[in-house]
Amino acid sequence: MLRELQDRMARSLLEDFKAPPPAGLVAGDAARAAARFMIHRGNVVESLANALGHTFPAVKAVCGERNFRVLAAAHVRAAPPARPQLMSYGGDFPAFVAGHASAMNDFPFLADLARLEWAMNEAYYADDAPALAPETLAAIPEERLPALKFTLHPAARLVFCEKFPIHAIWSAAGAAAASPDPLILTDLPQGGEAVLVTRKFGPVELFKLDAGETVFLGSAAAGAPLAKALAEAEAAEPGFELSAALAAALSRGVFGAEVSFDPSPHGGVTC
Amino acid sequence: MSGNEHAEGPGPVPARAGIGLRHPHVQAFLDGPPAIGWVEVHSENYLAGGGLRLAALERIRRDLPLSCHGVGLSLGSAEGLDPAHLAVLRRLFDRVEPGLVSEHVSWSVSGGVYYNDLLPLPLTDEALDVIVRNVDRAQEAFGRRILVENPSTYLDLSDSRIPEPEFIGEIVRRTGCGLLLDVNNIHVSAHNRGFHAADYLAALPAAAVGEIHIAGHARREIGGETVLIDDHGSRVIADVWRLLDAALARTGPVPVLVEWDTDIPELSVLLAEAETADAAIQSATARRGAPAPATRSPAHAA
Repeated sequence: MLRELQDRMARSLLEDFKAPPPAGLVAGDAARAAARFMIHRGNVVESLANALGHTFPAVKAVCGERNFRVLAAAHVRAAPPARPQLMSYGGDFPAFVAGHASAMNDFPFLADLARLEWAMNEAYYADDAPALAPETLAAIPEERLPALKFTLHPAARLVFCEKFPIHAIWSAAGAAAASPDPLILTDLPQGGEAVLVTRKFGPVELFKLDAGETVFLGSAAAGAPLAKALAEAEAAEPGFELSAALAAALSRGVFGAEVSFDPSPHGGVTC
Repeated sequence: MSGNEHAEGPGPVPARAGIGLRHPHVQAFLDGPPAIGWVEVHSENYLAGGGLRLAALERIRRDLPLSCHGVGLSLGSAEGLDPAHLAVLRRLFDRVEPGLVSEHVSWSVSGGVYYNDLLPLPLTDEALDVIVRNVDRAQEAFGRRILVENPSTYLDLSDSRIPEPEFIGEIVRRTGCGLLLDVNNIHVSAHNRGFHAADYLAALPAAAVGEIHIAGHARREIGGETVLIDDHGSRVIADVWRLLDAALARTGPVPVLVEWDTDIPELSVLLAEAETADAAIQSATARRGAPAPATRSPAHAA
């Protein structure tokens, strides 16, 4: 009985605001009961859409508050939270945006921007863990370096965007004042960008990566031994400097404290 | 004192005024604790494994007693409680050791979906059995007594047969849980559903009250009449202050929280409201002719 009532009310909460209320409500007459139920419908859709707005502020800024409300409310109705933790709500929002034809038509980079912001949200709430210390790396004998394998720190994320300058778009959105209208983006660089998201010192930080770093970190994060990651980075960017890339990665807290070694000779790379 | 090795800061929540710890004020708390008895947080905002937010709470917790107020457990859900959610809440409570843990007499989960609203229960024997089972389950999972809060409501459900204070009293009697008495909720519900706030208050089990909530509410014109909306976005009105005095006269001095969740003002506004609440607690103590107890925890209040 209670279960049926709750299922019925729950389904009705996500229906269009104009839909009739569920049976079983009392507040004087039927019109009054319907008006009172609308308070709950409004609470549910608006509070969850607001939660998405907190997690995806750049998406909201780029498409404007008016468009964002429509997009977020549609997502809330299609995919309400499966857990009572708003911090974990929105993981499927980037895919929802990617499938939203009119949003992608107006803002072709919007799903990538949402992907970046979700990575930032994950980094913000990730477990605390020590990062790889320079001393750990310095203590590794040189002959073992080619086989060295890193792990990504729990609060580090790599976001690759092939087509759009996602870091530049995110920066422009962050600098914009809140507005009901879409943001006019000007002077954007051409081509795609890769972004590193980390949280070494508390706040979440973003770094735009150059071509060699992008390949190096992507390869290392995917479990490639150092020799292989280096070879791929050099192929992508002639003149790639390993020592500078490693120093940057250590200072930004990209890698977890634990390292391992690839068992195959030369770290899997034929010399 | 329990002598718990993790208890670095003050433990029990005192019979004083506290305020909700809200994001815009966190830095001010980190810079130095304001003159306030204790703070309350929404448990669900701190379920991360790490990061700045949790670190800030742990820091503030060393200076001030803490209450964890849940908004996502859905004690009224017929499908029972989510074991994963119980487990992450337990992990938080073990980490920050709140002096009080509370939840609502309402539901917000159905079919595994979380609706982020406190929805009304039909006041039936079946719903009572459900919530009693869920409160038992939560108290077992947390290894401690919890407080349950009387709801703010806008409508009734046609199945309801049990008067609401009696329904809440039965939860308390059958589970041994305490009561988080929200006097603003009583005011809001009394207006919206047409009952007398004083009668409702008198029918609740005063001895079980381990905490009181006060808050502001909004007035909205809906369908040609004024409906009170429990939005926690303004100062406490005079009627609710009077209801607080009436409640304290029955309960004696207990912790009183100033809730403010939307349109969050300067910290000084919350502190001023807390000062008024502290005065109400003190005059309730004086009327009883006894000094306020230094602390009061659910374990001692039983």
